[in-house]
Amino acid sequence: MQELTAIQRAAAGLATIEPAPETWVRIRERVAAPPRRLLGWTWAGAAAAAAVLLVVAVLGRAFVGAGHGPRAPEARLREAAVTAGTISPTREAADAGLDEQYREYLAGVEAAISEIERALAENPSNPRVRRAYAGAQDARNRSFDLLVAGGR
Amino acid sequence: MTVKAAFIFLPAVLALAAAAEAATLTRRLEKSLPLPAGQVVRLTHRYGSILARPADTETLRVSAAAIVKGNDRRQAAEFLTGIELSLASWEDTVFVAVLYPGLVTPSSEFSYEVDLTLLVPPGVRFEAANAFGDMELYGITGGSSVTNRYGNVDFRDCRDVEVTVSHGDVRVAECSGGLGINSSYGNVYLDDVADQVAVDSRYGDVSGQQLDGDVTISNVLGSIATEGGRGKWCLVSRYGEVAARLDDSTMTKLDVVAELARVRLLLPHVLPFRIEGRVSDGEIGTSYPLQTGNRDGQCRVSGAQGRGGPHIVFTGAWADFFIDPDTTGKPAN
Repeated sequence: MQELTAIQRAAAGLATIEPAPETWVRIRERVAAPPRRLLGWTWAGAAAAAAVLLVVAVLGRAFVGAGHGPRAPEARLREAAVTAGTISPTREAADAGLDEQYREYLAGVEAAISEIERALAENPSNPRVRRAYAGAQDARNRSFDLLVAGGR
Repeated sequence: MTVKAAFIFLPAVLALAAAAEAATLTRRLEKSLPLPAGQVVRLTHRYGSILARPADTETLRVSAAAIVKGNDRRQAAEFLTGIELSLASWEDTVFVAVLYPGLVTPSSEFSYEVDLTLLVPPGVRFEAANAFGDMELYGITGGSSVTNRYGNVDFRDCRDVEVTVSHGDVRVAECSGGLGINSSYGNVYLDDVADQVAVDSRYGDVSGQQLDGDVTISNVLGSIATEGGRGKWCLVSRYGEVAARLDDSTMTKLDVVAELARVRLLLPHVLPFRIEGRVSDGEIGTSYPLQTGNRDGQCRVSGAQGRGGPHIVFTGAWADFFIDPDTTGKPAN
């Protein structure tokens, strides 16, 4: 907890800067690489992964194929939240989960930047698109800061 | 010869100059269609805001305000003329879309968008997907399902709402029925929302005031902050902070699950409550006269104040819990 707080405090204190190219390459490699703790997972870890997959499946059903399903969306979300609320079996699993969240966060930001660049190609001066682009780039810079400051 | 040449080329030069003149052009389009209660309006949009509010009659009315800017007036005018507003009916659904003409090589100054206003008949379900534009829904009570990629979503005075927002904030006020929110990168603000509430957030913050009913909020990297409220709640946080101020003795249950997080509960002195909690590898701090101790590597707390009030249960790992009296001076209900 103290470590996380220290990371957040350090990240908040940093100026928003574009990291050096080699830093970006290193982060990309780290993000693209499979989780290091994968081989060390126990059966409990595998069970946790299955639970995560279940959550993804539930959320996928809830929102990818959203429509007039027999169950209300808030009920599906509630079930997913309760499943997600299961505590990780080990500290290593919890840390791995945090790594995964950062990885997904950054992957989502990168995907957004690509999508917005396609929008800029057809609507180059649209202020909403430009604002979205600036926001996504800012999010990417902030996540760089967090990754560099936290060593993750 | 020079004068003659000038007479020949001047009109062409002027025409070119006029064509290359920067322009901001607008156009309004309107369409309507009868749409009785029980049917659905489904809208797909891109580049522009969407405003939906209730209609007085059983007619769906859609008005579009298009704006095109560019440094080539002729190109902008051609593009504006090519924009179409489409309403197509199929079984119980009316499909609404804005169709943009193709533009192969837009200049860097070129931009366009269409702001839509829909008057939705009573009892009609509203479904919409948008990208690059905000969405506002007021008084839509026939149910709504909204997705937005880049833009904020505001709901007020609606019933039965389902929202998925990727990059934008969600604001919900004075709504009831079933509310499901799935938010990725933006913040979620709830105010005076009742009945069935489920929020699944990932990276943004969630704040709620005066929530009433069966409430579930989960977050991953963002925080959860609640103020007041009634009913039965469940707050789940991984990695984000949780702050909850309870002020109503008619709240029946509060479950808090936290991992790698810090949780702070503020309870007024006069608020009765019953509490039990355990946390692995974390700390429980309280200035209330509660029973605390360590057993089996877990920090535990239990106790009660008065009779009735919420039953608070928390479970955590690598998390810290603090239960403190509310010193904000706000009255308990």
